Amino acid sequence: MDARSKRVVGGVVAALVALVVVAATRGGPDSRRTEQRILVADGVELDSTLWVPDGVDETAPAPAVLLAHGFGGSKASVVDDAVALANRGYVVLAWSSRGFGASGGVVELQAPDAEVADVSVLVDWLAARPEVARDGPDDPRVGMTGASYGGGATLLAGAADDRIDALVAVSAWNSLAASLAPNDADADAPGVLKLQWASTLFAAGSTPGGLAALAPAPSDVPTAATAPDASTASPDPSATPGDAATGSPDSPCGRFDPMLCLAYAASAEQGRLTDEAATLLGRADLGGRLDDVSAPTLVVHARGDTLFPLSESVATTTALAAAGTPVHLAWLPGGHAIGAVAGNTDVIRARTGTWFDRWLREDESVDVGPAFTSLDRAVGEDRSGDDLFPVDATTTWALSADATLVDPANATAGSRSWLNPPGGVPAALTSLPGLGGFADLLPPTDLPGQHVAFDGPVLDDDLDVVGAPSLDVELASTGGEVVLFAKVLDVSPDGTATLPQQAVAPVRLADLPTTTTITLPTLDHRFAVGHRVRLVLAATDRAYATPREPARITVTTGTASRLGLPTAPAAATDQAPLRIAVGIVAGLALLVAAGILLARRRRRLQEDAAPDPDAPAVAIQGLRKTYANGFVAVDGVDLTVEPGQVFGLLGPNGAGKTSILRMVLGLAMPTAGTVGLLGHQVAPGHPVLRHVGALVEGPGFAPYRSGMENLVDFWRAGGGSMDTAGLDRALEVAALGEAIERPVGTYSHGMRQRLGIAQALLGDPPLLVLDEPTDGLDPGQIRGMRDLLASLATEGRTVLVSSHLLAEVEQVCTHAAVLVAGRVVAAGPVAELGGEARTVEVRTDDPDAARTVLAGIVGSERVQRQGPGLLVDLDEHPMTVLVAALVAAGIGVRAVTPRRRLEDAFLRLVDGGTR
Amino acid sequence: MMTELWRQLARRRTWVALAGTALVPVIIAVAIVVNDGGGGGDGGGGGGDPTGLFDLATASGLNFALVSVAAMSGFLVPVVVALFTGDSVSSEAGWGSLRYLLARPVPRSRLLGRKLAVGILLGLVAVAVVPLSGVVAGTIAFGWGGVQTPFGVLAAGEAITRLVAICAYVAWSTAWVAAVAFWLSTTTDAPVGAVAGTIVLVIVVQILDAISALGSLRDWLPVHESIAWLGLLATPVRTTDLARGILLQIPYVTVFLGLAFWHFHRKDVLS
Repeated sequence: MDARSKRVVGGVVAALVALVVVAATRGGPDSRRTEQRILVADGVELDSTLWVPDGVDETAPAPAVLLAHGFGGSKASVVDDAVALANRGYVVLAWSSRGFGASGGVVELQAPDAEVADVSVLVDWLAARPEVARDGPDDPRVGMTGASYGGGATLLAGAADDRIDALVAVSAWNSLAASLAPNDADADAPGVLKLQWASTLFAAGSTPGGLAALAPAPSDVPTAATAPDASTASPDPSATPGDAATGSPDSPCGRFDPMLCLAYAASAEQGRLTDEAATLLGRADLGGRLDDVSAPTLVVHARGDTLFPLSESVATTTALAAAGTPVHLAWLPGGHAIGAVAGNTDVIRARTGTWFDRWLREDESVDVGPAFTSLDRAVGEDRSGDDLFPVDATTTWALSADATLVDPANATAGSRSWLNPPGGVPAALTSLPGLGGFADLLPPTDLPGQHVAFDGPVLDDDLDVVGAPSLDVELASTGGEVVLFAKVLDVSPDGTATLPQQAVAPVRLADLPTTTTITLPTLDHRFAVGHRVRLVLAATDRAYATPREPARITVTTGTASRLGLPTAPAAATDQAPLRIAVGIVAGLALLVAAGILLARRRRRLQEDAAPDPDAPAVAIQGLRKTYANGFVAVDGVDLTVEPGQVFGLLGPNGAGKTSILRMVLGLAMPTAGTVGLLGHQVAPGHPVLRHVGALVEGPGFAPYRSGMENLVDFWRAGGGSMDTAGLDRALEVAALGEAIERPVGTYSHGMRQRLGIAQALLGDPPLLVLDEPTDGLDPGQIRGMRDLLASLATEGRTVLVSSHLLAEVEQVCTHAAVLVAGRVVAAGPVAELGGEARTVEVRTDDPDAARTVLAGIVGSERVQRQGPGLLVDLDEHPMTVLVAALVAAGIGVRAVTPRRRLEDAFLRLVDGGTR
Repeated sequence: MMTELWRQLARRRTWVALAGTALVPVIIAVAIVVNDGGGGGDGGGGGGDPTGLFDLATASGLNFALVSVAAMSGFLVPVVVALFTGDSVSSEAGWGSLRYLLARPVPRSRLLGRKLAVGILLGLVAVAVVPLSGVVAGTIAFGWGGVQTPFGVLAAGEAITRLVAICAYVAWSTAWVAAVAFWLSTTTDAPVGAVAGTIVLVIVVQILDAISALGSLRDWLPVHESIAWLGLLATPVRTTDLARGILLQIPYVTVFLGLAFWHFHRKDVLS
């Protein structure tokens, strides 16, 4: 490569590097960014960056947000958050806190006269900026947010300076001293030093750029995990060369306030907070100060925070709520490094943005959501509510001597004991600081002999524990002072135990034996159905400084030793449908029961449905049928069919014949009137129908079944045994031969019609209802049908037959009714219907001569010429006399045909009816 | 009752439907085997697999049976159930044989009850056919063994119990389909109308359930908990959604069967 090429390559590389640097340092595409050092106190300057969104200037000022960073970080660690807020239209001021980054001063852990006072100076500074909206002179419209160290700063500054208008505190403490050295039996007594966290923090504070873990960024986690091992004495000078430390990097105290440094050293050595350390940390205690906060506050906390436990967020929230300050509480998955869990950062930014939109822009249309939310729980759905703590019940168990948790009434009195090992090692492992989202992967290890466990019953339903369980126990020890760790484990059916939220409650008790109440870690955890709750009391925990003197510690069991679990209602939304469903089931059961009872009763009423030989076979009274479309098919019909009659329903198509037959068979419901069959009033499925055979509107058979199978199916569907079916007779009538075994789908119309009649004859019914029985039959079959009906009548059966063919009725029926437009226009014996007078049609060779002859016998008015023949009213004269006279007169008689009056009547009636 | 059962069993459509149901797992199995043999395999579950089960299809015969149930419970099972129940009354009406059955001395509700019972029985057979065919095809293709689920591993014995429970849940989840189809069946003479109408309704409801804008309204759709049987794969069994899914069917079944009986009881049989 020649020199020129080298220059080109070098130039390209330099340009790329410059681009990367520009890209990395630019605040964002649409905000202006300025850096400045702000003098806050004698000789202490803070390194700060101001983002001003495009479009924001003195003519259009915007609210500002103070953005504080986490412990060990600097203003550089919050650039992404700053850009997000600037993009939302806020002026953002980020700064490096005292002792961090390029700022001056030493770390004083949010002391009121140091870091907290600095914030007021920054507020002053913002008030002087023309781009920032103002509530009044020296009072800018400003909110503040930060995580961890910055979260504490946010709450403390909000309490100290009422010019701050809205707060979002993420992963903040309520009491710094109690968080670092908690005592969950007595908050005022000396606690148990959270040694691992304390040393991690100390290392971070004394190593420039050492620990960024407390700022919400996943990439910082490995740093956090390795930080305790980093040398505090010789920080890597190449780490962040821009952050020139003003402290003395060679001292073991790094940039810590020397007072704090000494107090920490003493505390670490003693394994407890010295009074001096407690006093120094107490400066940053929020207890009692939150009454002064008037700014609406959003508290965001990770459920698995082992540095500032979940209870810290509860203490802050309840104190603010008690002071009447609008406060919302949001719980997210993960540990103290809340941003390590994917998705949390987005949720926090969104919630922060809406919170500031609501309270800094005073936009009441912004929905800030419910007061309490708990998202992405390990088991179970998200929870939310307008009450901060939707807890309405407590599940109480007592510790029993057999190492179980039982109903207090069943607890066995006794005791269990465990050992604190000499030197406090080996120790149980429950958590690792800074492991964040990975902490869930750690199995809790309790060492044999160093703990006792009490197992609850296998849960028969999900148990949602929300809040801090409490433990009332009596403890004794062979040593003087006792340290123990109380925790609640979740044991799955396969025996795997997990420690929800990695949360333990450290307890230090001085005077033993004693009865005490231990507040267990605040949980939001679902113990799933099938799991158990396990209470563990352990002597050691690797995260804490524990006593070195060996001791045997004893807990008394029995009714008075109680574990109380605050339980949330099993999601109210699940309960309502359950109750509704139970109601529905109950209602359904009632309906079914009522239906069965009714059906029983009706069946009993209908049981005795034997034909009444004295009653009319069919008695129709006042029958009307109006169909849904308003068509009146049957309009007040009265008919009586006596046993043994072959009764014809005669009428043109559409006269209502089939409608009547449908009602007779119970297939259609009469609009008015009644139908009696064989002495019983008919209803759908009435038992009397057993004695009725029917063919209505043509046959209907399953086409894929053979004729035989259809007959058998039909008979069985009525509940009859084949013995009573009279199948042979029916088959004889059907006269289908071999075809009876073929599928009905292959039959001709006539074959189906015959099968339909055969079906009607099954069971040898005393009453037959046949609708147009000869439809589709050929002449020979029609004659056969006629003979069949005649023979049925001679057997004493009653037949109700409908037809639109006069001849059929006339030839077959003994009685008939003529229907026109739904009304009976004539009814009676066929002979009567024909009238008393009889008429014959006479055809002769010589009609004129014949007319003269016949007129001579019956009178001329009784003889009429009709076409080629003569119509003769016989009156009382026998036919034979007339024929004899014609023959005697030498007139050839071709035919003498009786001409019945029924036809005349029918035609006249039908004409009259339809005209 | 037996008469009605034999009547249905003698129908070709019954056997075609059951055979088709049995064939689908076989086709899936063959497809997987052929694809793997060709060196294919897309390696991912894809977007159409909300249950995460399909990646595990080849783990064992039981696994494959589970996948078959998962694949078919959404649509094919409802269709077959709709066929069996939607067709039962309307086809008799279509043939004209319904009026003869009703002119028998048998209360209409009893007749309807028998029709329904047989329809349901055939529907249950169809649901049972899916895992049976899946087990057979899967065991031949992938071998015997326990079940790998997204939640862990189940031993074969336990897995069979769970599979039976899952099938029971799937069957019950289609109860509303049976009820709707049966109701439509009593209102029409055209079997196609009852069956197709029901299928269209199933599709519409499934689409509605997929529209998140409907929010909590969707909680009340009868298909909303249709994959709650996944809870039966977890240890311990997740019963909340299951219970909801079971109860969710009750109002629909009550209303539509109630409509069916109410309508059938008072209708004029004109067909």
